[in-house]
Amino acid sequence: MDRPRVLFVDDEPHVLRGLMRSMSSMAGQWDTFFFASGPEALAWIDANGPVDVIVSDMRMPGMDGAQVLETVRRDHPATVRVILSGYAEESAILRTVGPAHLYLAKPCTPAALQQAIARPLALRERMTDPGLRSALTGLSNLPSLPAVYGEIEAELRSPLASARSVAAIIARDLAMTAELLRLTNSAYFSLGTPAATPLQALRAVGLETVQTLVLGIGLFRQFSGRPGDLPMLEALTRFSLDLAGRCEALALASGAPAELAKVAHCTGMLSHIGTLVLIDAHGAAYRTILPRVDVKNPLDRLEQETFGAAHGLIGAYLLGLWGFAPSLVEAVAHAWHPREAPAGGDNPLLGVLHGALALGPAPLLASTVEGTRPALDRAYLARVGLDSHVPAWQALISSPCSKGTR
Amino acid sequence: MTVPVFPVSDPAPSLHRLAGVFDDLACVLFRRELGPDGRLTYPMVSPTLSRLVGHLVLQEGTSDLVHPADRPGLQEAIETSARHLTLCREQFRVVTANGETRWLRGASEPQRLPDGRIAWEGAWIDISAWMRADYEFKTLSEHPEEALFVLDQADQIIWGNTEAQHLFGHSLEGLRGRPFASLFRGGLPDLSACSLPGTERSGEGLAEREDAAPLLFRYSVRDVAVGDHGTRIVAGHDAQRAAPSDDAPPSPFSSDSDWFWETDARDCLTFASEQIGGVLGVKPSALVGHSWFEIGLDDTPEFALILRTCIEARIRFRDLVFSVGPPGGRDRRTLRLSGLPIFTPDGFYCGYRGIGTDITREVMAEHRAQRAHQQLVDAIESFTGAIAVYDPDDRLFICNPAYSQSFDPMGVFVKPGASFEQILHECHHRHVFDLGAVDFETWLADRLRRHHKADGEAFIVKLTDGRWMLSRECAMHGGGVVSIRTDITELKQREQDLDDLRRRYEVILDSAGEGIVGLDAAGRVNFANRMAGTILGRTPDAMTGMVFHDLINPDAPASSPLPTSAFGSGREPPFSTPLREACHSTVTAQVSTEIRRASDGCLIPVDFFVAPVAKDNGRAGNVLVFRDATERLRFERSREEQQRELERQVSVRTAELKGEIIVRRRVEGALRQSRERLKAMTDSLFEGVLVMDSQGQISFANPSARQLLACGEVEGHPLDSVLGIRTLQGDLPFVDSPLRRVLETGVTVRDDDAVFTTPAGAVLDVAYACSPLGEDGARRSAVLSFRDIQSLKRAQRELFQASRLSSVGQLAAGIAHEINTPVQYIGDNLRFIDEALGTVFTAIEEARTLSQALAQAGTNGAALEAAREALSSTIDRSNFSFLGAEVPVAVRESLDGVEQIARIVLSMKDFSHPGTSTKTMTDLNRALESTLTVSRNVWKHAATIVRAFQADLPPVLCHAGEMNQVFLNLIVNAVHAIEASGKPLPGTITVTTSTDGPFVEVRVTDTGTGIPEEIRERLFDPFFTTKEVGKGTGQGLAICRDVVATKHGGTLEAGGEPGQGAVFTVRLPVDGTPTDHEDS
Repeated sequence: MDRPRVLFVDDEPHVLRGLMRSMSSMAGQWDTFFFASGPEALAWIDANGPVDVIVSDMRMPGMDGAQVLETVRRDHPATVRVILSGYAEESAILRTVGPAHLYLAKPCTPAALQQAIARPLALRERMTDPGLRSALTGLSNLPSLPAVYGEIEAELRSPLASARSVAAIIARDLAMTAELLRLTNSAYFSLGTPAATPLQALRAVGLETVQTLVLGIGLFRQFSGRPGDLPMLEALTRFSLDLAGRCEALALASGAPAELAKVAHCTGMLSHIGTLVLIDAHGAAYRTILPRVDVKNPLDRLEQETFGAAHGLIGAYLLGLWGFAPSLVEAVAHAWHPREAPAGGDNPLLGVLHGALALGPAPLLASTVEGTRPALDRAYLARVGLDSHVPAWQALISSPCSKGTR
Repeated sequence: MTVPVFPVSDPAPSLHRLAGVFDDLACVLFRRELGPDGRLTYPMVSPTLSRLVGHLVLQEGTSDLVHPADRPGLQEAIETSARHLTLCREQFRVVTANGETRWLRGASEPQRLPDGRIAWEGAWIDISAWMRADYEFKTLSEHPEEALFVLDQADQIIWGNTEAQHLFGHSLEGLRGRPFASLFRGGLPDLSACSLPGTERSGEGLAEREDAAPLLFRYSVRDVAVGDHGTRIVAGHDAQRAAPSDDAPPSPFSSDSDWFWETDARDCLTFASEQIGGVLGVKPSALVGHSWFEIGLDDTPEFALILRTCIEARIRFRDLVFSVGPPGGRDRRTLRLSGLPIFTPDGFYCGYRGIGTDITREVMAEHRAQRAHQQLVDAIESFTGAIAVYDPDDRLFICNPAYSQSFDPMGVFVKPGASFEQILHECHHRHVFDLGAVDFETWLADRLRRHHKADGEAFIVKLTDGRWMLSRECAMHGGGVVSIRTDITELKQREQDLDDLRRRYEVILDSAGEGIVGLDAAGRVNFANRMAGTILGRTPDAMTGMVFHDLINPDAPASSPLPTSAFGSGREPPFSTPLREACHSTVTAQVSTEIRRASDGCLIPVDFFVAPVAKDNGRAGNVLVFRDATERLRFERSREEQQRELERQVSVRTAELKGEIIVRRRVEGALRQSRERLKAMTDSLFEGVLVMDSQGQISFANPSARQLLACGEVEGHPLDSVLGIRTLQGDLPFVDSPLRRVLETGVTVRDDDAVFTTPAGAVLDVAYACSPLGEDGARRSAVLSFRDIQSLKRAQRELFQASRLSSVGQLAAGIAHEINTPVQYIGDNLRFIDEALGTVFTAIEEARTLSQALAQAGTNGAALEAAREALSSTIDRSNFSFLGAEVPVAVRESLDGVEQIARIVLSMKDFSHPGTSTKTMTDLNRALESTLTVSRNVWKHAATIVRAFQADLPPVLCHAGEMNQVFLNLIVNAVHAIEASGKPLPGTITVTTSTDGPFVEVRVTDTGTGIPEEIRERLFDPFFTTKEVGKGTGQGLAICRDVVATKHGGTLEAGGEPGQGAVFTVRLPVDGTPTDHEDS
């Protein structure tokens, strides 16, 4: 495999040279390229083929960063797109929400920049199917439930809308939750720590910004696939909400602090983003594999065989691109097979998600439980020190009153 | 197809010459030409044609004279003639001016002209009369069942009618030219035996039909003169068939009662033929020896005398009539004798020879006729009126003396045989008839029409002697008219008298003041006088015959006539009214009722006096006398009403007075209330309200005004004692103030930012409006309302501060970016340098180790080698040439970055100029530079800045922070203008500083699209903005002007060529002008 190619665009020569110097230490791993304007960079890409990552300044004369990234997204969807800007005008930033996977603010340490580039490159290596990778990288948003979409639109237009009322609606939709939380991963909106709940995110971003993003820029997208796929989407949403609740409950039961429990909730909620993507793109195919699921043919293997990747990996890739916390991304990626996770899967989120999945009900519309959820890996849990909590978890999950816990 | 017409396109000159000759010609001479184009023209037509058709055939007149039905024939004749150059025989009809058709027949000789045209010259003659006669004859001759032949002088058949053809079985062609006699077997006697025109002869012959069948043809012959030629007409029929008509006279041949007789010299019969026996019922021999006298001639003395005289004179006698047999007996016979004396050749008389005929039947018929006639005569004579009988030929047959005398007392012209028309003419000639206004011709035509119509209808003829004749004429069976006249003069006279009388009564009744109508027993109007018409709204004539009750109440259901008898048939009228009842009554009654007037549908009161008209113990009708009771009622009413009216007026007036008092109280109350309300309103107003009269005297001031102006009761004081208006020119007294203009011109004045001063020296920031009160100039007063805008002003200033802060806040993002950028690369560079230094230090350490190893040379070769190896590897690993080249650059660039940050931070301090509330001497160049620096992020992608600073610009005493704000505003506006212009980026912003006397000018010029003239002043309006939402509050320029003008005594103006960009110019006094706001 060729060395990853990373391209930088900045109109300020000093900055460009600074970047070049700071990236010189990575010269052994990546091929780096530096351009003072968008058109120059695009011309080079046209001549020399797509790059793996593009990092662009936002405010540039002529063609600004959003335009550059949008062009790249269109022409080379597989390229990971990052904005690195010291400019903080909100309207400009909002325009990058679609085309950019990540928004980094100047000043940005070389380490942070290198990490932001390295992480998606690492995901890439696991996402071996180039077509799927390209499709996922080129995605600009995810489908929302039509009913919830209508509600959120109405609520955002309502003069009585509040952060709480809007967040309550957003929390009921998988895609919206993911999109909103993703915003807080961007440096501009960040309060230091990424938000774990829609309400936190809304408070960080601001209701007005969300209004602009949703009503003006079209942050959310209504599911417009075949009507036959809609029940599946609804079932997935119910399942994800339920899972999120279980994750939070299990985390609390394992003695995790409330903050971490919130993140666990978020992890549970976002864990099936990959399934959402598959249903959105291949609803009919996805429906055909559900009946085939059994002990010998577990869901993740069938997904892998049919689509080139299982939902966990797909979700993790997407969340990784969007700058979600590595621990969260890892949990999503390895929920079915936690022991395969790097560093032995010593990640409380992974343990909790694995437990919540393995002990919980079957996802989606599958009639059988077997094969639609991972088997509980007691050995793994024992290694990460969660094994002792399993009885409590089982008790919690079998108790009906735990269902609604958030 | 070209239709022959008669245009006289170019009358030949010869026409004029021959005009006199042509004019009298009975025929029409013409010349006709056929052109090569097939067009027919008539260059010449003699005037006879015009006379013939009754209108002038003009030269250009192409009137289409030829009857349409004859055009094809004529055309064909002409074409044939033209083709063969043969004589053109033409016959056609023309239509005359009065619609008649006339037949023209003619012939014309064609001739080919040298130029190819064909010309005809010929003549037409009018054959209408002939054609008509021919037609009429033929029509008449087609009498059914009568065969007619027309023969020429040689008795050859010219024509035979349909019946003749049918009877003889020959066609007309077969008959034509054939001798009439040849139709008969063995010929016929010479028909010319009767040669006198008009005389008739009859005969019978055995003819042979075409199919050889025998035909006994009985005929009569009449010679007629046609022109100069004699012609014979034979009419006849099949004798073996029943006689065509019963009226036909018995044929002379049918008589079988004639006999011959001879007498001897003694005048006794010597012979009588056999037939006499049948007549007299005796053998002829029984008569021999008797003379005619003895046989019965003596019974008829006058004839006997004639015979005796004739015989004695030995002369011929004819048609002597005498009777034989007992008078009145059945055997009585009447004989007619004719005789011729016979002489021997030597002249010796030997008796008579003659014929006799039994004419008993004829005589008896004649006798009966005479008797009938006599009876008729007697009847007519005995008729009291005038009567006359006209025969079918319209000749007077008989009339009685009354008839003749009625027209012709002298018996001159009313005689049998005279035609009716002659009589009328004679009468007219003698002025018998009073024709009135009608002219005789019309009267005559009408009279004759009546006469011929004879339908028994009566009509009246007035005679000049004053008599009136009622005439009635009846048609008689078999033709003829009976005319009966009755002298109705007396009747007429009576009628006229009656009429006169009636008219006299009418005049009398019409002049009556009351309506008078007469009703018959059925209630129908038979008389109405004029007043009745007036009252009822109808014309009296229109009422006659109408049911009176219907007239006066047309809305009521159509009423049936009143029962003819008061005792009635039991059939009740549909409704009963007093008037109706009165009409039924046999005594006079008076009824007052309302009727409906027809003319306008009004109900009017009417007083009726109903009187019965008695006849034969019964009621024959009524006379109604009535008058319009409106006046009476009005009079009666008016008396009551006058009283009532008086009472009413008094009460009304009283009420009015009461009302007025109430209204006045109410008005006063309302006025008081309104005044109180007004006072309450003005009292509660935050705004000060002053009312002043035309002299500037205050007539009213509300509490707010008093409070604002810090004065007490001011009513009656002049305005100047309360307030003055401060302007740039100073404090204005009332006479110079705009308030006076309001009083003079009546136009409202308002100023939203004015300053009032009080005599106590207080200064008020106010907004005021002054409006005129009252209408005309002299007495006009004005209302001045004003409010304190000090707090508003303060708010405005706070707003300015806020906007300053906000703009600083907005700038902060940009400034952050400006700082972040150097920070980014400084950090990058420092880390790079750090790494490079680490490498260098490593290398240096290794070099030192190597150096130490060298110092201990020879001691440890391996250690030396290891040290060298380490250094060498470090040097190899580290791209020292790269580091050597990059590190100094990195350091320099980092220093640049630090400088830039320092500059920005300094500019920020300069820009915001914190901590000064007083004016300071400020280098505007430096202030502008700072402003440009802090705003770099705003303009750097939109425009290039050109600094045209005057190097030796004197410092200006100003609020530096506020002026920076102004400059920032102008620069931001310039950037927005350039971005909005749509011109390619970057544009140019030129910032110029210069000195102009005691002023310093700062000019900001952009390359946007400029400011349209019409919004230039509004730009500085606090609430005017051209910016889209989100691009600022739009308050900027208003605040800038406030800062420049109010705080610094300078000016801020907008200019520049529209389309080329805007120029904003700030002029500040160098030394600073102290203002009143200095302290605030």
